[in-house]
Amino acid sequence: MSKSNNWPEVKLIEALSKGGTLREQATYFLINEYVHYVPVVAKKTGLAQDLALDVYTDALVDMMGQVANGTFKGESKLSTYLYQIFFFKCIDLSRKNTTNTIDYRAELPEVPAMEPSFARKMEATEAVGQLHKYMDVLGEPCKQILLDWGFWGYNMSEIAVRVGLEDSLQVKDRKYRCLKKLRKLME
Amino acid sequence: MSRNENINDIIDDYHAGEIPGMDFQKQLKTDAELQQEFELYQKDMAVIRASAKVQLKEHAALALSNNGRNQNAVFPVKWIILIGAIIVLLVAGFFFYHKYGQPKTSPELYAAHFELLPPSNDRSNSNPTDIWQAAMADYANQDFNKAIEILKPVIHQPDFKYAESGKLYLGLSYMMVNENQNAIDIFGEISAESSFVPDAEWYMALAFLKMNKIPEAKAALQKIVEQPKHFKQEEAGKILSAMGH
Repeated sequence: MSKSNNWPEVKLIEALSKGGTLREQATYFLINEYVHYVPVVAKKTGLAQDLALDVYTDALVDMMGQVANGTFKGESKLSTYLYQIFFFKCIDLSRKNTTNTIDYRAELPEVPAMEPSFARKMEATEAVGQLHKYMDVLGEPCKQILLDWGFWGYNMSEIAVRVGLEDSLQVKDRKYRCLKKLRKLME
Repeated sequence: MSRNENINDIIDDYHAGEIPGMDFQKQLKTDAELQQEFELYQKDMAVIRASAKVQLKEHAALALSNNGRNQNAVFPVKWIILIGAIIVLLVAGFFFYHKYGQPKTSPELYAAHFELLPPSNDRSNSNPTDIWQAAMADYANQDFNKAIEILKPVIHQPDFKYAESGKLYLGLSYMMVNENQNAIDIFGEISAESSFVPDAEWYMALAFLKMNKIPEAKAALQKIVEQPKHFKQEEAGKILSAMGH
């Protein structure tokens, strides 16, 4: 993924909100641009760098979701917001084994206190490593179709081009079959 | 369209943001089948998101590794710039040293410091000899060979009243026709009691410089430097410094 150096804040927010190619490019841009937070925060919080990298990715995905659903209102810079989420998540993790956990969202002025969603509860109870394996078992092109649709927000016509299917209807049909397969794996 | 397809379409529309969240929530509360399907959708999304995070983490790890490499690369670049700057300074220093700072060659120093003594106009004597007047006239006209011709035979004559000053002007005339050793010899003959000794010492030192006789020139200049009242003490010191003494 090429890294664009020309991502004004407004464009980034717009890209993350819209989905598709722009969201993908903006996401990789953010990863590249702020990955240097990882060693800094890892050092501050005493987390292993690999673990901090997990949290960084997690924070980024959280931020993407908040930008997309309008929770993020642009009162701070995306980079600041990402750093805050990342930092508090790291602190939270570093205290995980104690009862003294903190709710990082309380420290973020823009983020209202949210009830964890069903999916979040699921992610919290199942090891993330286990979840992604279901996708690996699905194989291609199911994995790409589901990622393009579910994570990047490509529409069916765009996915058709990306995976080499004829049209959006084929993609839609394929997606349902892939989801069915995935659900069977998770039973 | 079957009920299942209809539910999936509703969820797809919700996923694509085509149904307002509030409307969807209302629908969820009243539609048990939709609720059931939505729970499955959320599970699907958790798996998809987990898979995406793995991909993003791989990319982040790579970016972090590249970032580290770039940061490391910064140091060599900084070092290269630093070394480059040092080399430029050294080259510039070398250039300026050679251009301005290096001790000048003896002939250069001679040329920079030599000033021809003006001809003597002996007003104390109302009747200067014809020989002396003729010699000074030739000297003034820069006809140094003629001045030498006149002065050389007379300076050792006991009755020549301008013997000491004559030796000085003869020596200068020798210098001007580039017979520097003769000049040095004649300067050396000037009586230690003569008031022309400081001039003779100075021009002798310059004659050594002109001949590129460095040790002799330095010794002659050092002799001047050691005389606090010598009229060329400071200048002799400067020449010695310029010679790297």
